[in-house]
Amino acid sequence: MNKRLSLTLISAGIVINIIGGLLAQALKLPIFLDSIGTMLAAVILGPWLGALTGLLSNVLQGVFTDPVNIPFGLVNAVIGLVVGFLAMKRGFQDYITPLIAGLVLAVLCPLVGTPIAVYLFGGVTGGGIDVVYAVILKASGKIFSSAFLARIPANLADKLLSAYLIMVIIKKLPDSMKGYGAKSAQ
Amino acid sequence: MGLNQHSNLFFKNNVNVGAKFSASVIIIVTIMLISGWEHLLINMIIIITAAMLTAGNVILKRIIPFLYICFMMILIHSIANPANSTYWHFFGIEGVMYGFRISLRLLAIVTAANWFILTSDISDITAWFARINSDLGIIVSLVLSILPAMKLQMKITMDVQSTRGLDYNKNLFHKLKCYIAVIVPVIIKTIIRAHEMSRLLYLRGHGKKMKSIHSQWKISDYAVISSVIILLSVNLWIIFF
Repeated sequence: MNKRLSLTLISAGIVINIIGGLLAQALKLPIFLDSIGTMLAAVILGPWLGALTGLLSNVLQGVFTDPVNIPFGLVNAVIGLVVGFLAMKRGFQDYITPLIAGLVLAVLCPLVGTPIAVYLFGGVTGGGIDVVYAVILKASGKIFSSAFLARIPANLADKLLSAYLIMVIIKKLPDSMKGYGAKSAQ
Repeated sequence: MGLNQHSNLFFKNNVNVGAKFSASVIIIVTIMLISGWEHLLINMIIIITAAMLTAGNVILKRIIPFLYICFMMILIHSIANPANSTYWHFFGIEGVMYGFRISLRLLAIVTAANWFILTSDISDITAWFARINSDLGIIVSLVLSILPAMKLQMKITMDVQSTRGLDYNKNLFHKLKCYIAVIVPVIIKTIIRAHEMSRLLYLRGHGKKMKSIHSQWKISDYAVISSVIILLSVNLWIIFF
């Protein structure tokens, strides 16, 4: 993959992340769906450029619209790394790899995102998930664990859906555009 | 033209983006070092006042959406915070103070970050990214040029799918189906556009040696940085002595 194409695909990934998030908000979906572009860039360009796509998505959204997005760039970078390494190892065209990606990310993303959310927002999101958080917090008495557990179901649905969506798209692309996603699972 | 607009224009035109960014980062680091609510409150008042004087009242519009989440933080922690031991009706005082402290910190951070956005032009920020790294500048420019086209593409696809019978207001499962029906064509079009852009970059000679641009800081830039360093020093002195 030449450098020019890498630059434009990173930009495309950032745009897809922003559009994906906006569309999920417009349809009032209870999940974020704002890391599809990161996953796409990671599958095509590999883990490091995938992580860069994720990080830059949040930094640019932060710099141009809402600065609170910036620290969550770490979560998006982790998504790029995990999906990129999985694509390098197994490709991204079978049904198992998106499942592995979804399950790993459903735990890893809240693990990285919860400390940030607890520090900045006291674990509160301002959405319906707050009721679950309050119930777990009352029962367990632990702020971090409650915020972490409350985020897992939404993350699981979000990451599984995003990963399978990428799998379908990668399958439809011509072989020359698939990058690391072209490799078949052993 | 009011005083606020004058000072906003002054900051937009006469202070370097790098200086404003550094000032914002120093303020945010300062806020992150403070733990007492009284200390945070004083800092927040100083930061909001300074931001209103230099960026205008529009800064308040950026802060207001966060008041709801601050209210939720105080409410949830007043009911469920594990540290609650003193109660007023249902509400634990310790939880209220915890929520209040985090709210103050959040509002101060949001104000500092938004001050940077409101006092900087998008073109200046893009040029600043390009000065840091030319590839980064290209990525930012491409994002800013593709994004409006893709937003329009999203709207067109939504309208087309709607005329073909897709209803966006049904249950969750149906909404997810709508999401996929709209996002897939947008993604495919974005990938095609990325390939076109890469060919255009080749034609414009990207990758050949380019002149690097340097910018010199002015007195106004040093003044902004000095004032936030004074704020940081005073806070550090209060924290440690």
